[in-house]
Amino acid sequence: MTPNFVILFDGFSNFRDWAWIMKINVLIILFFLFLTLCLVTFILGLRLFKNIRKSKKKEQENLLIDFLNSFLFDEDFEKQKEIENFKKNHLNSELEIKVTIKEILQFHKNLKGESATALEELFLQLQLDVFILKDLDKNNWYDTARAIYALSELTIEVPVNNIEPYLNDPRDEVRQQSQLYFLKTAKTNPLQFLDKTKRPLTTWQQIYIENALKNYYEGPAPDFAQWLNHELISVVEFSIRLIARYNQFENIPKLVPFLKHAKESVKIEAIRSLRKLEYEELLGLVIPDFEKENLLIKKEILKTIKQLGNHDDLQRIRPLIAADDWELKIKYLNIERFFLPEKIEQINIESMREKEIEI
Amino acid sequence: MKKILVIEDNPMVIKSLEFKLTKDGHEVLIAKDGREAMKFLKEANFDLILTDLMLPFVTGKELISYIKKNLPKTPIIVLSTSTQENIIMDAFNMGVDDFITKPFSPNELSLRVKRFLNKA
Repeated sequence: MTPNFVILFDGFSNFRDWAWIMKINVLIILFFLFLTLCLVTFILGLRLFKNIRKSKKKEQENLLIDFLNSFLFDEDFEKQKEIENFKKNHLNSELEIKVTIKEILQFHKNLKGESATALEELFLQLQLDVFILKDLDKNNWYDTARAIYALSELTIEVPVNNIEPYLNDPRDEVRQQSQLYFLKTAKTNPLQFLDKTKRPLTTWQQIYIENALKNYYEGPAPDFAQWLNHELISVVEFSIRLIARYNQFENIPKLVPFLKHAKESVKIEAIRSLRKLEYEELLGLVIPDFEKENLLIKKEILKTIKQLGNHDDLQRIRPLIAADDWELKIKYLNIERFFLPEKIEQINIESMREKEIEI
Repeated sequence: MKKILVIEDNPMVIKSLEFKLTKDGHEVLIAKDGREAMKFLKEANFDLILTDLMLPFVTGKELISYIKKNLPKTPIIVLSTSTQENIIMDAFNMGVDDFITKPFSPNELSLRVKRFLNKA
């Protein structure tokens, strides 16, 4: 091996005299060597950058924990002076600002009362809302969603037209955050944003809105009937459900027409809500149409009979259940057992006999 | 100076509790999980225990049972994110003295701690 290597090495001085295939080989080797070196340098650089960023982040987090605790709980802490110092020395890079926002949100999530209010004020004093507003205009949906989230968590009000366009953003997450923003910052009519909503409410959005309405909004409950004529079916269904959840008995007459709605999901929601509101005339309205309804609605009608009716109402249904519709028959028998607990044995025997005849 | 054991795994909450309670003039010891808490409880006496329910290694419930069995006179305050009625009822049935839900008000917590320590 050694003599060959020496020969090859000696040959570098006569590179021009080499065979062309050897020249190409050497050039390719050098090219890949260079590429490998570049790649290794890039990976090391990236790693170094990540580590520096991580240590800066940690440093800022530790600094903030001390700063925020002193700000909140230390009576000797010179607030104005320290805030100015912090702003001047520790809010210079995007990383520092992002970590600060994250930490304030983290504190705010765990604290309530005076401390939470003080954090909201601190956020404004550090002018972090200015940064958040810049984030809103970025093209990344997650930057926008995060910015709106921060504003709504800290209930920081910004001009309506800054957030309103996001109510109809193509991304569900952005729409959800803007809906929660309007709800959490509302003094009255927390669902007014529904008037501007042009995209259907997803199930998750409905859950979040309902939860926020219960936990964050302190004013009087709005009249949910104002959205019963909304152009979006999902909003109509949501409003029907909320009328029942908030026991708005005064809206019963407005719900009744929805029992005849062309859309099955709306009809089901109307039956459920009127049942929850214990509307006595509901059975008289739904039983006559039982036969022409589909399976899901028939099941809802049976549930309604169980909750609001009696055995006589149930018997009105019996001839309307098809002989081979075992799913409904089982449901029917279960309700019959519920109404006549003393006749359970007899009902069981009759149903078995009926089944045998069918087979 | 009264000695308080804080059993909590959220670094932010730990720092705030430590800061606030130390500022109030108490000696504060921190255990970041149930196992560490057990170790402290075997080594020293505390005037009050402030604990979370969801803890690594040894759960808050197991810890409360241990404290009630071995240190029945030490008051326990639970600080938890749980707002479910059955969990709160269970904790009181196990003998905890107070239950504070997160998010919590540090001033309110400070007053409750003071009340228990004055009683003791």
